[in-house]
Amino acid sequence: MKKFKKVESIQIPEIDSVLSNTSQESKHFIKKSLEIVHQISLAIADKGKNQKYLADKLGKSEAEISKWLCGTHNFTVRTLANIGTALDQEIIVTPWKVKENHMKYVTEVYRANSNKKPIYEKPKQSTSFSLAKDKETGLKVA
Amino acid sequence: MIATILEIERFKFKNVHFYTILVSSRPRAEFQDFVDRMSKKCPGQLGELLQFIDEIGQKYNVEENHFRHERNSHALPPHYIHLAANDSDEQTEFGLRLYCCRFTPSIVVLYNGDLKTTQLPNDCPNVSKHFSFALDATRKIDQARNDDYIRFDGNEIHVDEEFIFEI
Repeated sequence: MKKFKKVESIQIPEIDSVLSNTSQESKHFIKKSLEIVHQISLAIADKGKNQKYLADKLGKSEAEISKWLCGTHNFTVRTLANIGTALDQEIIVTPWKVKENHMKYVTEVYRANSNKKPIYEKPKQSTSFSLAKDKETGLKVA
Repeated sequence: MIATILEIERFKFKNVHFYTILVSSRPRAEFQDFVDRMSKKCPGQLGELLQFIDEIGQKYNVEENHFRHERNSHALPPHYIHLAANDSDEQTEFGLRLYCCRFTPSIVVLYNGDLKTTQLPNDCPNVSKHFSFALDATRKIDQARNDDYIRFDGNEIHVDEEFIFEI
């Protein structure tokens, strides 16, 4: 009857020492590159398509698309825009765009709700604050 | 040469554990030797490579396409990653290579490597011995698995207590 044991582990403190001396720019580059490649893979899957579909849409070979998705390919903004168009999905969204989309969403929810019921229920007991209208969004704020 | 498989404590993640090999006649484990030597030779590229391993381990499933295929083994970084050298890095046309093997999505063994100077690894005075070692080690591990001396259980490797692993 064979007896198996789990292999032992090894500490390599030099790993953290090297990582702590690695520039933030380098770390950021690796993180963002992997995020972009991952996002493209997700966008292809969301569409229920495969790499061949993207290759056909972009007029590239399937092998080239496969290489793009292997890791940190240096994508140009134009390539990312073309991929986003082909997959009908944003590949990169800037924080500014996220903020703008959020404000649009809040405004739409407010408008939708204001047709049905008041978004703001007047408190039963009297309070010391009053409502004003925000000039830019038209939203009522307390 | 008698060898031992060791789990790298720093690279144990939820979905994948990374391992290396210690050869009895050598003072350091293969991946430990790689980190030690490359931290002096090309710290910039090594930092980005370690960051890459850390990222794929923490956030992504370790997929086949995260690796470069090298016969029965693999290498890092994958194709079209251009690790950025810093000012203190030695410069070579082909950059840093770490030979390894992704046996399963949960088990990766990291061997050794160096700065690659030629198109073919066998022609490169820096990496040829590490490349040969990687091919040999992968073959021996596969053989030991087939003979039921080594078992993969999720992200853990279990070895028969009486098995002597020779490379």
